[in-house]
Amino acid sequence: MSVTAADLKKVFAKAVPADVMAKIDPAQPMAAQGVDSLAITAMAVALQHAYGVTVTPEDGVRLKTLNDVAAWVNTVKAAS
Amino acid sequence: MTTRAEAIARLGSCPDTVRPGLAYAVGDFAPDDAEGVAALFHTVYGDTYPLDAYYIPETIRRLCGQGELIPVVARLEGGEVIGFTALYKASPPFPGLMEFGLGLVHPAYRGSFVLFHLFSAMMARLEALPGVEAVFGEAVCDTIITQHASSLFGFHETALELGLMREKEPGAGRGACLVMFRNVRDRRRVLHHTACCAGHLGRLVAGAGLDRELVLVDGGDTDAGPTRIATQLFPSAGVLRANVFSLGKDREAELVKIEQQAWAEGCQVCQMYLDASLPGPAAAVPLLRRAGYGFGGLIPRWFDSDALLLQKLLDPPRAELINLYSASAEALLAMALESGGEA
Repeated sequence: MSVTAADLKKVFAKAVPADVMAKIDPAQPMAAQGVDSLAITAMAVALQHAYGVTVTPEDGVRLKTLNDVAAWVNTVKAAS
Repeated sequence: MTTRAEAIARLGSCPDTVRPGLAYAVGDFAPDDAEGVAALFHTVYGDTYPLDAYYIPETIRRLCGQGELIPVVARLEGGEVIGFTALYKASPPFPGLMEFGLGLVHPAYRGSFVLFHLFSAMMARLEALPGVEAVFGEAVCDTIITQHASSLFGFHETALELGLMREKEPGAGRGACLVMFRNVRDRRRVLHHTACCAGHLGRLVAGAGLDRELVLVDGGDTDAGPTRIATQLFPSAGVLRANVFSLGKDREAELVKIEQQAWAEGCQVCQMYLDASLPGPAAAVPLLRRAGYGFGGLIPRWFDSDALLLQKLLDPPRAELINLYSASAEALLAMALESGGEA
């Protein structure tokens, strides 16, 4: 089953303050919506724990939106 | 020797050549990175960062050469430093306990995964770093994000420092810091304590995965030798910290002297770090609690052996402003508040 942006919002519930998370548009860059580097760090670790996937520097440059992250998780999981 | 003003003037005259969206690599600091690190501090903080060292490349190189600063950096292909994190020697008497607290990302790369890669690289290197036996951080409790991120990298909360930070604006209240600890290499140690904090200590030791022999002492116990205390004054924070290595028969008068020094220096907070490897300092807990000190928790490896934190504040802590990420951290707050902690 594919991972969706809604799934990620649940996974990231502790990584990002609830008021910020509630307003996130999955199609818009997270950085422009109040998600800072520390929150993204916590999100990356949460991805490791939830899905066993690790963002590489090469991946990281391309992942701007929640939809980008969901698509990337699905690609990595499909390839593994 | 370059001064802070000279270094900042030089940094201000150099254009920022960092462009967004480029590939980066993370690795150990090399001496040639020092100029880029100084430029990054200037880009992020302007001229406001309180420590001169990070603006002066030769000082950065010297600190790294001496092992007082152990950085990991993120670089672009052109060598520009876009991210920095470091372990550094701070105030613990034990040099093998280093603080982990610096994390900078160039504004063009905020919202990227640079900080995650920096932290991951640092954690992966910990066991190979000579002389580093444990690391700790002080997560400011105005937000839970730092606490949460620290826990995800294997840190465990062991103490809550009430009123450690000056208030950001009048009426905002002094900030608390959650002490988060990660052991690197350790052995079984004796941890002396009195009955009043036995339950809390058992929980903290288990939570941090420490191998400790908990030894109960009587509140009247003193050490055979003389009292030995070293104080550290942090004027900008308004905090006096006393490292209590041993307490002899003059303990009560000596502890009173320390507290009087704190208030005379204009401090708002007096912290006692009691070396729990000896019975004397640990036995002073009931005495300090009667004098208005609260039990803040355990600082593992502070002296190489562990420290019990007792703290006294001139003004009551603003508990409603302390944000904590876990039930165990909330239990630390309840413990610190229940046991006093204000003058």
